[in-house]
Amino acid sequence: MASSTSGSSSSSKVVKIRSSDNENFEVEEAAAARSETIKKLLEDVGDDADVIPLPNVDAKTLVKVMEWCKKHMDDVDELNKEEMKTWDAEFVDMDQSCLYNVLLAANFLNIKELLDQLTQKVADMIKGKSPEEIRATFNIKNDFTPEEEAEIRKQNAWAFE
Amino acid sequence: MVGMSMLPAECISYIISYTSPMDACRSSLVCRLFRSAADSDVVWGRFLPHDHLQILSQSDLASSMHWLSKKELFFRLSHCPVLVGDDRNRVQEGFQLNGETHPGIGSGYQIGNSRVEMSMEESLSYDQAFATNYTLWRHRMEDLLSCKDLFDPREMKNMPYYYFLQNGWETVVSGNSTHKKLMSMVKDACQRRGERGLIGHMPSREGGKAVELKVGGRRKAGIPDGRKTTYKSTFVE
Repeated sequence: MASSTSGSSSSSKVVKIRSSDNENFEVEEAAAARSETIKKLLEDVGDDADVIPLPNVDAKTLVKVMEWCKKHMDDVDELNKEEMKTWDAEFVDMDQSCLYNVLLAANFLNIKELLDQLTQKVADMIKGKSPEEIRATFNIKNDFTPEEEAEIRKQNAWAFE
Repeated sequence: MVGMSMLPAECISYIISYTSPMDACRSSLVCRLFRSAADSDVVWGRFLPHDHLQILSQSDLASSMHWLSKKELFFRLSHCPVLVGDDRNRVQEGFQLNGETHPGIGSGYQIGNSRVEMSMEESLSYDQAFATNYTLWRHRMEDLLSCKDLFDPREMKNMPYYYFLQNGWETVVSGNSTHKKLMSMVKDACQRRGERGLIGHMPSREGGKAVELKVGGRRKAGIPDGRKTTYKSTFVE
């Protein structure tokens, strides 16, 4: 076997990952390792890894996720914090279906910081809205009967004052 | 359907836990999926203080805690703050239900005769909570939930009530007016100002009595400056 896996890997090392629709990507290991899931897989298979399959993430979503990972590859110093904030805000500003796909991918790939950013983004779309407005925002159909709706409204009366 | 419903319920719970108690309650009326997500322990566990289990383990609520959902627990604590420990070592928990700011939780401690500063979010205006001003806390909790069940402060029948305006305290009403009437006046006044009011009735440390009534003081969406309102009370013998 090769030498032990301890110590930091060289920064230019590249890993291959494959999306659910069979597209291969080459990304820097440091970027890919922002995903705890990929990091763990890499540790498990060691240097023998050929291509890491990601059966839950399609190519379009993976491109997005890796874009984030590359940007967040290195620790941010104080000077770049503001710039990063702006970048992050622009990054999460995407259409809803894309947002959910990236959110699911971040969940599957276990990238906590990205997951938090996306979750906050969706939460901000809920905040301060009435149920009707939430339905409109997310295109959700009301599947309660009028009686059920009245009952729930009663139970949560203080929120509707 | 492509949309929110493609997310698993746990994911939606997680999202709702990033909002506020008020948003969570509103979300439960959106659809069935949202309701199960919004009522879950994931959401309400996040609105409770992280050490609530430890704090409440000393209270008489401890025995019923395991069958209450976190949402029920939250509302129960909001309606009736609990006293834990014995009389000499009292901890009073107050829970703020505030939709606009971070779901804030304030706790005050009274140990023996000395007071311990409370750790509260800055938008709260009360500096200390004593076991002796429990009534004040209670009212605050009720005010935040609804104004319907405030009882008449009987011992205060002939005392004036004060109403805090930008430039000071004003007497709103004195004499025999009921608490409810007062409350509705405050609500009206607050609505005109785009704020919610707060009324308290507090037995003071000195053994005197005070009535206090407060307008604003909490950050709400739409209030421009989120200023910190001062706490003020008038003591009478």
